[in-house]
Amino acid sequence: MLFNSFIFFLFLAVVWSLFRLLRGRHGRVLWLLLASYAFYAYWDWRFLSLLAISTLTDYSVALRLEKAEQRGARRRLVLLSCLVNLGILGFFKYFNFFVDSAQALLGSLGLHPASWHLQLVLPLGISFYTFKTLSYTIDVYRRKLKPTHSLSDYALFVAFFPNLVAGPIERAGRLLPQIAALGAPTRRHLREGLTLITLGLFKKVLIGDAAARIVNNIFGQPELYRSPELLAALILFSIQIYADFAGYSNIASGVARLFGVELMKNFEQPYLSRSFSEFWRRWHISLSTWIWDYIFNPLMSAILRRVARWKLTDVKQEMRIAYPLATMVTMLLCGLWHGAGVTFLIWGGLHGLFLSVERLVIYRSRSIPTRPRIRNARGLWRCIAGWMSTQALVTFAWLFFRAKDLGQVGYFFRQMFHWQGSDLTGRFVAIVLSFGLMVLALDLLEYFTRSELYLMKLRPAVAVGVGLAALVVVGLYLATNKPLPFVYFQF
Amino acid sequence: MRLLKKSIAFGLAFVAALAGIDVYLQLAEIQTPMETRIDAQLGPTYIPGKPITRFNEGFFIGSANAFGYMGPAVPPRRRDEERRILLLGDSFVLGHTVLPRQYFGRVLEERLRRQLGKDVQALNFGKADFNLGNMYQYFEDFASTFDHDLALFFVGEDDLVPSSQVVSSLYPRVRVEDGRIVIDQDFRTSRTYRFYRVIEPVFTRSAVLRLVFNTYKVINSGSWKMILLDKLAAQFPAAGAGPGPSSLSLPHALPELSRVVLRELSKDRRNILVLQTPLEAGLRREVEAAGMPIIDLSAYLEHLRNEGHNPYYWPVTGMEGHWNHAAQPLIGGFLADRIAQLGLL
Repeated sequence: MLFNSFIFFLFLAVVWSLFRLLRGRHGRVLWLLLASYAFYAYWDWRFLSLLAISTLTDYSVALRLEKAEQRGARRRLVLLSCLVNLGILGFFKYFNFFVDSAQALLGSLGLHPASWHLQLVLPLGISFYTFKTLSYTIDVYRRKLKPTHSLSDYALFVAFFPNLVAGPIERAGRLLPQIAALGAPTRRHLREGLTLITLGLFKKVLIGDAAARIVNNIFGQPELYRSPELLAALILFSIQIYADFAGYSNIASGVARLFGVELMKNFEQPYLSRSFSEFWRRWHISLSTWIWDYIFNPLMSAILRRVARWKLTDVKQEMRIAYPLATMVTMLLCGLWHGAGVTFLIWGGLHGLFLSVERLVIYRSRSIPTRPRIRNARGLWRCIAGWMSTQALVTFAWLFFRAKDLGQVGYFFRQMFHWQGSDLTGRFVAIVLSFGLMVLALDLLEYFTRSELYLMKLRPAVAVGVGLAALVVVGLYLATNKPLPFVYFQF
Repeated sequence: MRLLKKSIAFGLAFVAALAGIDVYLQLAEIQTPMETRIDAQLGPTYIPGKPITRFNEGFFIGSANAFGYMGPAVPPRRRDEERRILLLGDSFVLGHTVLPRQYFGRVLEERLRRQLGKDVQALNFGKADFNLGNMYQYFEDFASTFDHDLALFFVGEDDLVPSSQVVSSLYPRVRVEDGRIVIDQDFRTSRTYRFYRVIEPVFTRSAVLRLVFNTYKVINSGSWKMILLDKLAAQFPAAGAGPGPSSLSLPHALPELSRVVLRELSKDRRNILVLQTPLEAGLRREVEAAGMPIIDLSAYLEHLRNEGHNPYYWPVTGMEGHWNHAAQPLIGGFLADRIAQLGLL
């Protein structure tokens, strides 16, 4: 059930109406849990078992962790959680990748073993709920969080349908207390929820999906297109993936808010970033903070401990070794999380490289501010140069993210270096500019109002008029065009 | 008073937002406004220079030329050294599924230029949903005003024995009276025509209204249930639907209109019939009896399919539809070879 389909809004209307009628917290939790499982089962009921296994494992592990005092026992418990969660994720997502890679390696050595490739369907949202449950167990292990004793609360934390299939990857520390105090939604919740849903649908449908129609055609058969068209498709993809995911996150937040739950912000105008560090603070925030907390920081500490044994002259030198190493490993894993493929690994590697170079060569020990402080003309130019170079490299890296394989990447490069003009260049430039300016306008509104609910800054009658106009056009578009799934559903 | 102020603010904001979104939809070519106007003689015709974008099986981005048809603007008067082919047919010939440079007509021109050493132009007079009767009328009233050496009429069984027709209240009607073809312009008196004339200035400028019109067509076609209910639509079968015949049985006799049109066209040896789908044996005999030269494209398309190159399969969507990117140049090449072999130019 896609958020950008009519059937989802029929489902939402039924679930919300009954939710409003229910009086007790327990009833509301159970109703939302049932609705969440129905939402997931609509796609494929067989994978509900995986969701249940993950839920029950981490619920029980956390309760045992609460009682366990010995370090060894606690380690074994957290290891068990990691094995179960990452085992399921690894099997469904990476089994074929590793088997195929091993087979290719053996093939290059002249060995041809029988194929182990399995016909596997990737369960929807598995990467997202696995990270959610893992963070819960690790936080309990680190004694940062007290485990919940309510199975229904925990099950709802894992399966809460607004953020089940593509995030935001909520932490138990934020979401469980909200579930524990789940009350009837207020008028404020309703207003904010509907505003976020409207903005999200506009981004997803009229920017993301609309751009996807061109992107999918060109990336589907790039050999049919010429250099300016390929370049336009790459820029449009960078717009598509942002509008698609940010739109999805807005809708998810809006739907959650209708039930009185506030999800974390997942995007903060990433395409206004002037550096890669800033980009990763603004892009897919729930994933980047997860990676920061559970991969980068432990890795950095471990590397620094090792490096400390080398007795280097100062901490800066130690950092110069540890930072790029930890960043590269983290970003390679981040690439692999997105997809089991060499292109995703390269995408992650490129971001690791950009982040390392930026930190070690450009910024060194200076902090990288999230909002620019422009004091003079030089500062302005530096800001513009930073923005342009960051966005150009981010767009370049998206090529690896979107391309089917390295052959397609190679074809793009050849077309860029052996430029072949097109009689449609003017039309494509106008299209790219229109999409780009629309995204920029929405981002600037959010940036300057410092709120994702910028529509609510208008007078209520005006806000309703603008929102309704957007909804009408979205509805008309969806009635005549098949809704496209969210890009991040495949992860 | 406060309520009135609020209502005015709401109304103005709604209209202003719609207008703003409309401009965005047009500039980003997410939805182009209606690109046709209703001509008093021809019915709906393309507005010269109006941008057209389609996302059918493939991807089309282009516009009609200054003379109101697709492709490069070739004026009615032909230069002496030029050879000219008119292409008439339905959406397959119109080619709104591939970029203009990928269109089979471009390959046809190129190949003939090389083979014959002459400047060859192929003019695209295809129109979606056209059947033989519509093609005849469009040829008589418009396409034939362009000097030509050949006119290729692309037809399938459905065009010869039409099961559906383009909206007759917007197009001239072709009928047979006393064995002769009569083109009626009575559509000009229809309510639909008058309605279209009224809404035309707005519909040709607004993308949102085009979306409204498209939605209306979706509702009329009955597919709204699938759009609204997704997988659950199967639980609500259409009222009155029951087990029907396993296949639609078209009558295999040539209707009088098609027979007379073929006979009329066969009087000019420059007119060639291109068969784009196989015909039932009896129907084929009747078509051949009309005496029009025939190029059998259907056999070639079938051959491509048997060779594993399905000309209707679109790899990006995984569905069958019009001639795909791979088939376009092959079709252009095949037609060029046949024209050269038969010495038609």
